[in-house]
Order: sequence, then structure tokens, then C-alpha cells
Amino acid sequence: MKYLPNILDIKAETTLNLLLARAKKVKTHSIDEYIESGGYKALKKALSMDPKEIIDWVDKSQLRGRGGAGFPTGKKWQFAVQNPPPRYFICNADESEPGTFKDRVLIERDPHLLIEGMIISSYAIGAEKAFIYIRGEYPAGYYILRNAIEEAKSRGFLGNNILGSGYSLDIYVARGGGAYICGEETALIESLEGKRGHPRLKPPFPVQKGLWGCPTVVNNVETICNIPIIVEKGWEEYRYIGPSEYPGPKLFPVSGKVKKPGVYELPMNTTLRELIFKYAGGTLGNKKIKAILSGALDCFSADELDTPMDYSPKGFGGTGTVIVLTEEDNIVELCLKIAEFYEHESCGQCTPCRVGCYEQHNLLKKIIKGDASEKDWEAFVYINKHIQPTSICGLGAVAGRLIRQAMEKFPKEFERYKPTVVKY
Amino acid sequence: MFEKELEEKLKDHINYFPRKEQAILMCLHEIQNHYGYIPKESLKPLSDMLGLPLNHVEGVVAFYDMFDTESPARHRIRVCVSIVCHFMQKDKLISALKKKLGIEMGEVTEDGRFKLIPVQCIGGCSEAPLFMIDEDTYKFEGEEKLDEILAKYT
Repeated sequence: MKYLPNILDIKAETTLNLLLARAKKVKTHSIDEYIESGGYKALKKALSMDPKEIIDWVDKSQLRGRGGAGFPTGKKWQFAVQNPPPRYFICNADESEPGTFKDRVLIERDPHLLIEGMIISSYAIGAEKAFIYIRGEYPAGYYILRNAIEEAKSRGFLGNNILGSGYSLDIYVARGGGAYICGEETALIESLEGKRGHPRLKPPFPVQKGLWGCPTVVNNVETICNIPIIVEKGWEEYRYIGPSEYPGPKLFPVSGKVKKPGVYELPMNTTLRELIFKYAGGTLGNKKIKAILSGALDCFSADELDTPMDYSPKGFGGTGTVIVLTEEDNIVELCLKIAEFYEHESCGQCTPCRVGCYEQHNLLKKIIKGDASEKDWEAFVYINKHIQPTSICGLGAVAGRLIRQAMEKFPKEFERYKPTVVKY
Repeated sequence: MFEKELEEKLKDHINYFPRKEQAILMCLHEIQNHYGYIPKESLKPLSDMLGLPLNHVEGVVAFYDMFDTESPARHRIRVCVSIVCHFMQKDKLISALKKKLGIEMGEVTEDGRFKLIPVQCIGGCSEAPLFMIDEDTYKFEGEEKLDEILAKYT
């Protein structure tokens, strides 16, 4: 490659050697290195299969979306192919949630795994055009993907009549412009159409009416990287990876106050305790854990360390993100940062989220200064509760959630900011 | 109209996508890279090239955080102020940058070399605290290393 911006040496470790088989090394793997280690074999196998059979395999593999929602991937594909072509396939590489940096590692180090997954997925759903929407803050990833696509074209894995199969596909890469909301699939589609990233009302879902009103599948980077593994191993063998209800490898980006932060590839029955102590080396200075932010920015206390990473009601689910805070960290300050984040990232389309996130942040600023009256507290609790049920999209749905969880789990931390308490 | 070199780059982006309006964000990145910001006068010729109404282009520019129509700067330093960096001592990084550049967040140095911009999560949290200069991403490894990094951008 002619030009590559500076990228980070993020630690990546794996016990499974699947998604991170190559990406555990800090380097961008070329197409030759990818093929030498068994790459593009799954594509050859897939092209000899009926597209319906691939969808069936993905369904039976029980793969769930790794972007946060955990929706069964095979089901999403089945819905899409019920609608007439043209169909489109989109890779959501707009990873922007605080503490999440797992997709970055896959894109920057093993771009062909993603490309191979996209070609198989597009073939399965009958798409002839596919898109990668990568967040604006990952310029290196953009250049790496553009380069990898050219490499794949030159070997006949992309373009017209792929490997003589009669199937043709083009993949386009688009950069975002620094808007968290564009990770929401309908906002992403709007943005890819050249508009402001305003989420659409659902239904219709993208599998019914997505890009330019056509059936569209939007899958996350990590989800797509599972596809070549499923095709190569077969769904039966894939089901043996990890717990039987939630099979497959999972990436956990671990950050905050731990000794060995990084991305860990582990089975989904891994608990927070194992992640933090067995893999991430425990807390910095061996301090006591105060709180863990996990999943889709949910707040867990030190009493909940045995929570497994899965999509069951008691699991921490989501993107697999783990941010560890220890005893010296202030929970109200954490809530203030969260409120600041959502205020900044609200797209401004619907009133409950636009005004709610703004007021939630303002009131919390007042609270942390010690200037909040009883009335301010009431308003704060009221707003926090009402952003969720009245907003259009998922951002509004979670904008108050962590703060509410923190108030329930750490009531004492909030007590000292209440007006009835004497201030020193 | 744009200078020839920039116009060619914009045309490349527009021809790349199945529909030309899809290139809008790519073109805005390109314009910002070229001028160090997005001059308001560039929006009308861009809207003509994309076949979009001017107010559509203006609406898009205003929506996306990375685009700046206000202050030109040769290099943009984006400092993460989000949750992980906040608890991993981002304030040390910010005060080092402010001291070295003699500006506050949101300001441009007198010589137009750097603009200091607070941003939400950059997505590399294991290496926090983080910052970007233009397209490069860095972790903060002390003031000496910071000097070395800044020296690369003239």
C-alpha cells in the first residue's frame, strides 16, 4: 500500500484461533498471507452450494448478530430473500460505542476475512452490490479495505463471474463523518444514500425496505467474519464452539482499569470475572472493582461478576464491551460522561431524545456541582425515565438506561449530591 | 469551481459509487483535507457536481461532526474526551497539548498549524488516552513522545 495512516498496537489474544487466528498479530495481512493460511477456501465451497443451503446453514449455526442486538443472522437473511430483488448487502463498520474497538482489529489486520464473509453473504441473499460503511474515525481501515478489495478483484474473487461461477459482485466502501447514530442500521442506510443520518421508523425493516427502498441486509463486521468459519466447518461443528445455546466465537474489547486491556476472543459462556481476572490480568494496582460497563453500555456492580456473556436475560450481551472502573472512580461523574455522550450523539430528529438528552445532561451538571434543588432532582428522574419509551430509535432507548441502573445500584454515590445532605 | 487537482479527486469519488449523491461524505472529507476546512463557497459547486440542492448539502455538512466550516487549520488534533479516556487520565494529555500549543479546546494556533478538537470515542480504548492528528491515531505516551509526534506535522 502506498499510504497508511498510523494505527494502534492493540493487544489481541485468543483461545479459539478463529476470528483472531491472524489478527492476533499486529500487522495487516495481505491476500497472499490470507490464502496461505487457508483463506478463500470457504468462498469456493460456498459458490458450489445453493444460496438457500448457505442461509439454512447460517440459520442452523445459531449465529446471532455481534453488533449489539443479538438478532439471529439466518432469520434476518430468510426475511430478506422473501422480498424480490434487487437486494443489497451492507457491512456495518460504524463501530462507535465508547469502549468498543473489536471490529477495528478485524478490519485493520485481517481485511480479507471480512471481504470473504461479505462475498459469501451477498451470494447467499442474492445481492450484486454490497457496501461497507466505515466510521470516519477509522481512515486507516478505509484505505486497507479499498486495497483489499482491489487485491480480491485481481484474483477473481470479486467482480464479474466470480471464479467462473456466473455470480458477480461489487463491494463499495464509504466513510462516515463522525456520527454515532449512523451505526443504527436505518440511519446508516440514510447516510449511505447521501443524507443526514436520521433513523427511520420501523417497520418497514431494512430486510423489507432498506437501501433505495429495496430489501437490504445490514450485518456487523464481526458477524460477517463468522460466515467463512461456518461455511468451512459446517454448522454442526460450529455449534460445538462454546455453549450450545449461544455458539460461536465472540470478541470482547476490554478497557479501563485493568492490567492487560485489549481484544479477547473467547466462547460466550465466559463471565465478567474470568474476563477481568483470568485474561485481562486483574485490576490496576489490584484495586477493588466498583463498576463495569458492559454490553450496550449497561452498568454492573462488583456483585455481578459472575454474569456470563450471552444473550440470555441474565447475560451481559450487546457488543461484548467491558469497561472496568475501580474504587476511586466516581459513579456520578461516569453518569455525567454518559449523559454528555448521548446529548452529543442524539441526531436531533425526535423531540424526546433531542430535548431529553440535553436536559438530562444539564441537570446532571447541576447535580454534580451541588446546585440541584429538589425540583431539579424530580425533573431529572422524570426525564431519565421518559426518553426511552417515546424515542424513535435505539439511541433514545438507552440514553437514560445506564444512569437509571447506576442510581439503583449505587444509591449512596448519588446521596451526597442531594440537597438534603449537608455539604462541606 | 474547484482547482483541477481537487476536482479530479472529487470526480473519482462521484464516479466510484453506483449513485453519485452517495459520494457526498467522501467529497467533504476530500475538500476538508485540501483546504484545512470546508469553505462555505465550496458547497455550491459541490452540490452542482452531486446533482443535489444546495440546502441538502448544507444540511449534511452541519449534521456530521467531522466537518468544519468555521476555522481553517493545517492539522486537526482530535482528542478523545469520552468515558474510557476520561477515566484513563485524558486531562494529562489535554493539558500537555494546551500548554505546548498555547490554545484552548476548539481554538486554532496563531500560525494556523493546529486546531484542538474534543471528540467522542475514537475506538481504541485499550490504549487510552487517545488522540488523532488528521488521519493518524496515537496513544499518549508522555510529553517527550508527544513533542516528537507534533514535530511531524508542519
